[in-house]
Parts: sequence; C-alpha cells; structure tokens
Amino acid sequence: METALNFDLEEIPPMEMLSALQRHCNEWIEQSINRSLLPMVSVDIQGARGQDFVGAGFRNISEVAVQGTIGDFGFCSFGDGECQVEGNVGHFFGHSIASGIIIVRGHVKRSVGALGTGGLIAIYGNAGDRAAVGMQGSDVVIRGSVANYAGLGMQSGTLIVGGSAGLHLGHGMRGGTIYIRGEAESISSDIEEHRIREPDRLKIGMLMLKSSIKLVGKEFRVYHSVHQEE
Amino acid sequence: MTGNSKLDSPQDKWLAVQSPMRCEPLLARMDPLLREWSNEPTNACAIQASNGLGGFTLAQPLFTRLTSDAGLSQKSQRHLLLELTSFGIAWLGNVVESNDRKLQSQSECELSELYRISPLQIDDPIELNRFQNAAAIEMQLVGLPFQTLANSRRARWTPNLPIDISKHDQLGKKVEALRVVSGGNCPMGAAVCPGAVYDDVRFLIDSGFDFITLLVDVQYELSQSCSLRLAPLEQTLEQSIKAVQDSGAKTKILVSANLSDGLQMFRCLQMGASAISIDAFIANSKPTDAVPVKDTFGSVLSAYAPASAAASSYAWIKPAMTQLIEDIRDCAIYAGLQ
Repeated sequence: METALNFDLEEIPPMEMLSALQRHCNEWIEQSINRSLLPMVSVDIQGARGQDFVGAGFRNISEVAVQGTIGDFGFCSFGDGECQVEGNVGHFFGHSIASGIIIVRGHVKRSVGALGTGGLIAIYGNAGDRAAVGMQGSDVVIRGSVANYAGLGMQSGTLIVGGSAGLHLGHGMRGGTIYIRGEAESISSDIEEHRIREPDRLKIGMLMLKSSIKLVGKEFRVYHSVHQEE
Repeated sequence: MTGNSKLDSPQDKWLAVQSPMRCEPLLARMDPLLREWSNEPTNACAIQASNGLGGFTLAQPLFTRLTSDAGLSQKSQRHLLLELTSFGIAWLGNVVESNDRKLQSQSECELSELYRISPLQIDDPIELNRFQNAAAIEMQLVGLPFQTLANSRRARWTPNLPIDISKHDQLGKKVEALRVVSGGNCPMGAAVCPGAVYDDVRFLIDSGFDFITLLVDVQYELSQSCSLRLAPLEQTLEQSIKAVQDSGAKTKILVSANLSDGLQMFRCLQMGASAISIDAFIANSKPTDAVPVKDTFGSVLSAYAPASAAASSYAWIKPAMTQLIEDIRDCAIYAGLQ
C-alpha cells in the first residue's frame, strides 16, 4: 500500500521532516503483516526556497518531488528511492549518495555527488566546481557544463559531461571514468584519453536513458586515470 | 570534574606547576567529620549534543581508541570491548558484529553500543549504517586521503581537513549535515593532531563541534613502546583549554596521551581535560606472557583455540582497570575534590 506525504518547508524544517518520515516508516512497519517489506511512501515537498539539508538522510522513499530551490547538502546520504527536483540546488548536493536516482531540472553549485558510493545524479543544467569530488562508485550526469576540478580525486564511478569542462579536469583521479562531449580548458596529467569503445557507448546510453536525457554515446571522449590498474 | 576555580590565583598556579597535582588548601578542609565521603564514581564526563537533547555520560572520564587505531582483529576487538564495556568506557570504532553468540550476548552488544563513538575519516562518505545507534560521531581530521599507510608511520597522523572541504565555512555546514542525517541527538566531535593548537581548537569550536579529541600520543598497537608522540602534552592542553575559555563555548576536550597511571591522568583532568584515553595504560599493563595479538604463529594458533582460552588473553584488563579507576578516585579524595 502506497502512502503519500506532503511537507511544506516553510512550516517544517528539514530535520523535523526527516524525523516525521522515519516515524511514519516505523509505524508502517509495525502495523504491516509482512515486516520484511519496506513501506511505499511518496513525498511531495513544497516551499523550497533555498533551505539547507532538504532531503538529507532520506532512505526507502519510493518517490520524492521537490518544487523550488534547495540550499546546501540537499539529499545528503540519499538511498533507495527516486527524486525529482524542479529548481536549482546548492553546494554538496547528493553528498554521500548511496543508491537511487536523483534528477535535478536546474543548475547545481559546487561539489555535486561528493563522496557518493552509488546511485545516479542527473543534472539538466550546469554544475559548479569540483563535481563528483572524491566519488566512490556513483554515477553523475551533467547535461550542461562543469566548472573547474571536475572529477577531483575520483576513486570509482562515472562522470558524464554533456557540455564543456573548466580547468584541471580529473585532477587526483585514481579510478572511474569521465566522459565529456565538449572541450575542457585543461586536462590534468592524472588522466589520459582512451579510445571510446562499444561498452562505453552502451554505458553512456544506459545512463542517459535513466536520466531521461537525449544524448548519444558516440559523440563523447573518454578519460581514465593513469594510476588505474587494468 | 573540570579545572578547579578555587586554585586560580597566581600563587596557586605556581604551586600547581611544581606539584604533581593541585590540591585544596588545608583551610578548605575543616571539619572532616561533617564532609560526605562517597564511594560512588564522581568522575563522570557528560558530552551533550548542541541541541541539548542528545548526548551521553561516561561513568568514568576515560575512553579508548585502540579499537580503531591498533589494527585489532574483530575477535580481539570484541574481547577488549567485553572487558571495557562494564566500566562504561567510551570506545572509537564501527559496529561490532554480534553474530557469534558465544563471544557476545545481545545485551552486551547493546551495552557496547551505548558508548560507541563512530569515526568518520577525511575520505569517508556519510553512511547511515555506521552512525545508527552510535553515542557520538567523531571526524578524524588526520591522515592522507585514500592512502593506506602503516599505523606506525607518522604521516598516518597528518592533520588534514576532509577532502570535500575547500572553504573555511563548509566544515560547519558538513557538521550540521551530519547532525541532520544522524537525527540531531548525536554529539559531534573532531579528533585532531596538535599543530597550531589554539587556532585549530578555535576553528573547530566555531565549526560547531561538541567535543575535540587531541591526539597528543597515539597507540598504534596493543603493545608496549608502540606509541607515537605527536606533541607535548602540557602546552597542548593548556592552549586548547585557553581556546575553549576564550571562545566561551562549552566544548569538551578529550586527550589521547601516553599516561600510564592514575595520578598522571588525574593531573590531566585537573588541567581541564574532560576525558583521557587509556590506550597507553592498557598497552603498558599487558602482561608479557599474554597470548600475542599480532600476526604471528601464536596468534594463528589462538584463533583456533577455544573461546574461553582466547577470552582469557584479555582477562588482565579488568583488574588493571579497576586499579586505575580506584587510583583516580583516590587522587580526587586526596586533592579534596571528591
């Protein structure tokens, strides 16, 4: 049984929203016959006007829809769910994302997907500095352009850039893959271009499909870390 | 137990430097028959979350980092915790698996969780599983990102901010994000190796940490002489306490130092520390004929030994800890601060 919850951020702060959700999920589990099933909860969040920590800690929420602009550390440590944001988001969006899919129909500031270990973040607009910094397994798709130090210290995962990149692309990268369609102002010596192959095109296509973005894989260039073990 | 305000005059401070501990003067000790002498522990250390709702209280102002720093195996860690948990001592580490009922009962698991401080390294993501049920979260502001250096190397303890922090105000935001994700009731701490102590402590206080652990000495193995000295204790503690006082905050200072007896620890508490690590004490108290815990042939044999035999290899801890706690309480009574 799916339940729908509505929150207005002008009335309830993000921390209380998380507590209310957890209480609801715990009550649902207590009352359900099969306690191994997770609750099907969809959440609609209104009144987002740049508040920080919106959606931080959300887990096992089947659908989250946010109308408005989110501040910093939005959907930090998100997992097991799908989220759509209709607006711009701030710094450290999707920090430590564990799983699930987050789609942002707007721009994002610096450090999107920082330290993410799984899941997918799709940004329809542009991203600021340090996109995917220290990423450890997530996939980040930026339809627009990224600023400086994209892929900084990436350990694994995938960063797809539909537009251009700033300075020092891939600096400190030790693993993972960067696909870029436009030009980068400078490429770090920690990464090197490889020939794009069919598995790369398939991966790009699949991630674009999940992100509902229309771009094809053959237009991209692919970069791996020079320190990566084969 | 914090720094005693009665002893703040210049003469008292001079006396404090010369004497091993600061004591109440005789004039304050009149009429001992009317004083109440309690056998209950009075050395509790209470660490509160900034919202005032969460936090935990230690029965003793003691904690250990051996469970995180000493590279103990899961089994050794469980045995160590079995011995220490009954004393209400905080420990740094991740969740201890309780699937082996012979080693740890469910209630003992819950008890050990009561005092667990969950570490967050500079390159760690914020994982909910690790912080659930933790008594506190402590950011380890040391180490090189994504490097696996041997514990005995000094570079392993390089002071550093988390890899995602590139501006001074972002650390405070990250601390706040951690609070939100962990439910708001977990005190936030930072472990830092002393460098520019005063400035670092002020910065961490401004970033919103509830307690700060100073890593003056680190015990990288459960063995004598396996300790690294990173900074002088007295100057470090003095500067950090001054930083806390100047900021007007209620941040607690915890100290990891190579202190091997109750008197030294009590002296440290008098200087303003809220809790002291017992790592060096445990390592120095370990009998030399105990079952080795390093990767040796002996430890391989002990892995196949019956549980009782393995457990007895840590049986020396309880009497040593009992003696230590008695010593600290003894010093408190002697100093007139009980």
